[in-house]
Amino acid sequence: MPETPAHLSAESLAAIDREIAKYPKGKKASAVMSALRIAQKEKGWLAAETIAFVAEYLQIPAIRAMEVATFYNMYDLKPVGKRKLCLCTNIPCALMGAEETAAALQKNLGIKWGETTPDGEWTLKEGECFGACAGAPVVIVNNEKMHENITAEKIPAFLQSLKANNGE
Amino acid sequence: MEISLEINGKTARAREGRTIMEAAAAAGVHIPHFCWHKKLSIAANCRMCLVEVAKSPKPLPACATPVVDGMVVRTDSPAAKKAQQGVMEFLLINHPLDCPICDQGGECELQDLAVGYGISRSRYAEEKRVVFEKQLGPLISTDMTRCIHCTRCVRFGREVAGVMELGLTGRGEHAEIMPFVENTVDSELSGNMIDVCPVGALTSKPFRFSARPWELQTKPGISAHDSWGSNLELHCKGPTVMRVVPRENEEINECWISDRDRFSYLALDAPDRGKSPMRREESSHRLSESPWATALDSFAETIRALSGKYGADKIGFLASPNATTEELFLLQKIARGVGCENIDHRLRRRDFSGGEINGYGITVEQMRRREHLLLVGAQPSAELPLLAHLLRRRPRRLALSSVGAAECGAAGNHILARPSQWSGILESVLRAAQSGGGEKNETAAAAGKKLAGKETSILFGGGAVQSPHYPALLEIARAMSREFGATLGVLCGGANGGGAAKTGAMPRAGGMNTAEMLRGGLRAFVLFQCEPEDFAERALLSRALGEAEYVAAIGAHSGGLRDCARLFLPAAAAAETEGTFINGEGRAQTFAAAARPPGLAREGWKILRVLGEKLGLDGFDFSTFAEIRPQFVGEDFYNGGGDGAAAVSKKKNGADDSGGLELDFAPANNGLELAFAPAIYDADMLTRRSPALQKTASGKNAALAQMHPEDLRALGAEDGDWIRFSDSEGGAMEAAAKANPALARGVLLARCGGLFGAENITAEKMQMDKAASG
Ligand code: SF4
Ligand code: FES
Ligand code: FES
Repeated sequence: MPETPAHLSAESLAAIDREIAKYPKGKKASAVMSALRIAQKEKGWLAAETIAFVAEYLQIPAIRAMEVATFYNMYDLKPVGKRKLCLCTNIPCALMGAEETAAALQKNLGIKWGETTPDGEWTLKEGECFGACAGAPVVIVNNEKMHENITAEKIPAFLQSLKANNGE
Repeated sequence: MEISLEINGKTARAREGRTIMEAAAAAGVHIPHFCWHKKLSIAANCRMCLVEVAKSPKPLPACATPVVDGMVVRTDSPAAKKAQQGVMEFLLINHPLDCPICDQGGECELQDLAVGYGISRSRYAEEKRVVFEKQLGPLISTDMTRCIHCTRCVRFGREVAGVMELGLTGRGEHAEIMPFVENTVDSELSGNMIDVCPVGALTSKPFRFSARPWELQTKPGISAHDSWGSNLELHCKGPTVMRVVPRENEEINECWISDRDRFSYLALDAPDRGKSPMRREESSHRLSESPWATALDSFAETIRALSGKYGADKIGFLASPNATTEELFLLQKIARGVGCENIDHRLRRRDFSGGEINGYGITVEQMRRREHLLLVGAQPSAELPLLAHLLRRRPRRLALSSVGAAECGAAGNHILARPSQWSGILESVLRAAQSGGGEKNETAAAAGKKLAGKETSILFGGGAVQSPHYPALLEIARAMSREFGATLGVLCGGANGGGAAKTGAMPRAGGMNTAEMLRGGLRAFVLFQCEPEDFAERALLSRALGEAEYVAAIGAHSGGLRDCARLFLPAAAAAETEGTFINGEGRAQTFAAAARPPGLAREGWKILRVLGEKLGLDGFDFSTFAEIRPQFVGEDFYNGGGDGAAAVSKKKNGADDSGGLELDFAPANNGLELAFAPAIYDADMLTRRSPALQKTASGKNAALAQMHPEDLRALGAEDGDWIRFSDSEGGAMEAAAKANPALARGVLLARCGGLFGAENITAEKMQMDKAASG
């Protein structure tokens, strides 16, 4: 494949190859979710060119990879800040105060759903049930670290600690 | 195995594995549905088909639920009705309900089912969502807010058109049908998406806002562009064709048609459409309108005078292979009546030695089942879009061509080579088949082994038939036919591919064929429904016409011949006349006129009849279409019987591995070779003049000179650079270049404008200032 800015690093490609190997021969397309995740990890977000690159690598139409990338909201189709907070707003979380948490997050960060602070530090996203309803309301940071019981009054301290621990 | 079930209280029988939807349809019970389509995979995402099944706690989707023995299904119970009404209410939540300004109004599945199965009020009072339009190209209009996300269009692309051009992105509230970024929909079957879309989300762009379905009269028709013989439905308002849609015929086109068949009607009122006879006086440079009587008399007088002066053998008759059987029959009768044997319809041909094959040699049904198809020089997606669809569904095929099309390549076995290499490759395939391998060329050896002893059909495409190597290819194909009983056929015969030769519109002993006529110093030409772009050697034709004393053109459009014709007689296009086309299978399909020819234009057979009479020839004193009975016609000719193709034994398909057989030959040193792949929208007078087709990606590419990227790089040129091509016979042409990695090395895919030769073409990049001033 030609060297374009969307080209992934050798490490990422090796990681994708490992995913492909998990499926039967000729079923490369099955690795699309992992491949997109790996690509996002390298590039920070999924530009259309990156999605097209992944699709070509897996020999599927670009629009098929696009369908997957737009279906799951852990894929970021726009650049995101250093810390991406994803708050679940589905019913159990909502019953436990996710709406107030959302309001507090928006007020403290000064951004709305899907936006990034001008300094590039924070991005706020609305999530769907993470399967961790026991700890509702739930926030996931940078797709990997889960924080439970994040009620509105905890927000200022929560944000402080994230800043201090660099998102951990 | 058959099982029995109960649908709405009546006992029905169905084969195991069938769905409730199919079983109900067979039992005459209609179940409302949107996403289900008999030719597409099951998605079960619209939920409109919910039915009540005894013992199931929830209603089940009929389209995705297989029948089981003893099943009790109710499609009209209170529970089923409640489910249907609920689904309908949901579907309409975000639907704009803008039927008064929607083109689908009156033929909309959503409208019909809402009336039939919905309730008249909605409880939804909140804001509706709006989805922005997508730019899908010149053929399809979008109103995406109306979309109900049935994904029929997506599945059509993946499963029928062979390219996934649309997808369903997002989910829930945010789901949208769209192409990748800003792509357009470019497949040659794309118009069928308009038909499969059950709502007004995808509609025909050229037809937009021009008529309501209930104003239209439906007339049957037959495709006039290729030898498949697709069945059409022409929708007319008064005397005018407003749009064209498929007419279902399971044996031929199923429920699809190509975009060419769908949108070529737009050429019926092209600016150069002939609406009045025109004549050019000796002294004048311009054609001017003339009454029919004068025009017809002048034709008869001139033909008589010229045959007196030079002999009738100095006249040439050339007709389009898309002309009807009756027209061709009458034209050859006129030619022979005046004592002239120079008549031909094989316009896209260079070398006529080696004999003739007409039609496919097998039926479409047999094509679906043959063990092997060996395609030589064919580009199915451009020549016969529905053959491309057929090929996508069957893995056993081997293709040899200079243009690698997706339908030949990925899934099947494809050898990419220059036309001059084809006969050598075919020979090794044959030798490998005879000896069971041992060929140096591995690809050919593998191919030979595959074909040996198999039921094979060899099909020549336009690339082979137009090439100077056709006779050599034919010879090897005949040997293959002797060796393992392969049937032979040609794909590219035009709308009358199976019939034109039978009408007698071909020279007999002593007559000239097309190639000879172009070189024979003829004094007069009579052209029927064709123009220079329809010829393989168009530069030679233009020269011959320029040197002739008299050129008479009978056709729907005057444009291509305006400069050289002395007489132009405006004729009906296929949609405006009755006639018969015999397709590649040999199937005769007679059709009636759907529309009226414009202005003073008349049906071709009527014009020819009067010309025959004016010339004082025998056998032209009939007055109705039914009286023209071409002599070769058999008993059931007009009943659509045709003479059929050769009988083929139904052997079981053997197992087959379809590993890749890709082969790229190194470029030879002796210049470029023409690839002879007819551009899909440069096929005939109508497609060339359909503005919508010309605006498609394939339409725009036709004007470019396409070459392999490496060959282009060797010239120091890139996309968009102007290249001057010249041949050893003094021909030359200039065109903008486009790199096409699907081409074999060393071939040139272009409209061969000013070139005389087909090989040894030299290319040179032009300087920009020169190109600009030229
Ligand atoms: S555009 Fe039409 S065919 Fe495609 S998903 Fe929407 S409603 Fe279905
Ligand atoms: S609803 Fe929020 S985690 Fe399940
Ligand atoms: S037709 Fe059965 S779910 Fe759509």
